[in-house]
Amino acid sequence: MEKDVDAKIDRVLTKLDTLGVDAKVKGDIKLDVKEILDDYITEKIKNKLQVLYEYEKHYLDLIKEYKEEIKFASTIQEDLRRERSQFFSQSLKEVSDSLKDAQVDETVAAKWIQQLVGSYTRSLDLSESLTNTQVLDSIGKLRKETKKEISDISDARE
Amino acid sequence: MLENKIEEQFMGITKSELCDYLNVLHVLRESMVFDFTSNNYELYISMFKYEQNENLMNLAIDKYYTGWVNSHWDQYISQIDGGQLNSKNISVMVNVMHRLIKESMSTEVHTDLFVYLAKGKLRFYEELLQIGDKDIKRYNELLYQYEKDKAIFERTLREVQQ
Repeated sequence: MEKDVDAKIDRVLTKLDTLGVDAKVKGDIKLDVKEILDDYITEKIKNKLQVLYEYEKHYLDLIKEYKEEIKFASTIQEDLRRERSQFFSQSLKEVSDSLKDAQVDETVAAKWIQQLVGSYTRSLDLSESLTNTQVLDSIGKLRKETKKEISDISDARE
Repeated sequence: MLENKIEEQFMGITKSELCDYLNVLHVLRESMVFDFTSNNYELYISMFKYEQNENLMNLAIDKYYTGWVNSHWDQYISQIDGGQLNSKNISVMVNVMHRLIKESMSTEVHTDLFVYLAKGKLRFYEELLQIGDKDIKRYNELLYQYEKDKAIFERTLREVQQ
């Protein structure tokens, strides 16, 4: 990188040869140009790093803010999965046993159980749908705020 | 367009509101299982009474399901006892009941009476969702739907038996 910069400066300085500028003056000019360039590049990188740092800091703050929201929704989703599994592994058997104990006709029992399974799973699906909407809503808000932060930080640095 | 409108009803709800809606659904799921495991009198009576008549049995099943869907509204009202009822939370609950009925109609076979009542109900829910807060008084009609549907099913059951 440094060699490239040197070569580029040398190429520009060869144009001074036609003016008869001596080698020492050319050397001084080269040092001055390099110093100016170094300062300029350092400042430019510093600015970019600052923007990056501020963005990361704000992003982490936002994540912290929404972490609780996302944790809350994932706990509900886990509860719903557990409930669904418990319904099929336990509750349905209890229902079937109750119908048998009461001596309900098998065909009749099957009809009612079919209705129960349909209603129960529909209600669980609906609960998941409500929860997923809440998660998507939170992610949407997070994205929106992140975009706003990036734009605000960039504007402030310009 | 209506589908988008319905989807919108679930957006922007707070954590506490979400808990309320999920609780309504959970309570009604539990109560349905409890009706079976606790030998609920009304439920088991119809299982024996209409054992020999499939049409009557189907009516009894649809009557039970309709009552169960309507109970979501009653449960919500009792849950937010003293809380502010507004067009937003009413819309979410109407949407919940709309979905329970519409999805049941598209996946299960129902009696003609259920289909007739359900279609009227869906039209009513859709009107409410589109009206928003312009005519909040119409939401009061939700309050007597449970008793109205129950009476219509019982009347039909009596007529078919005669």
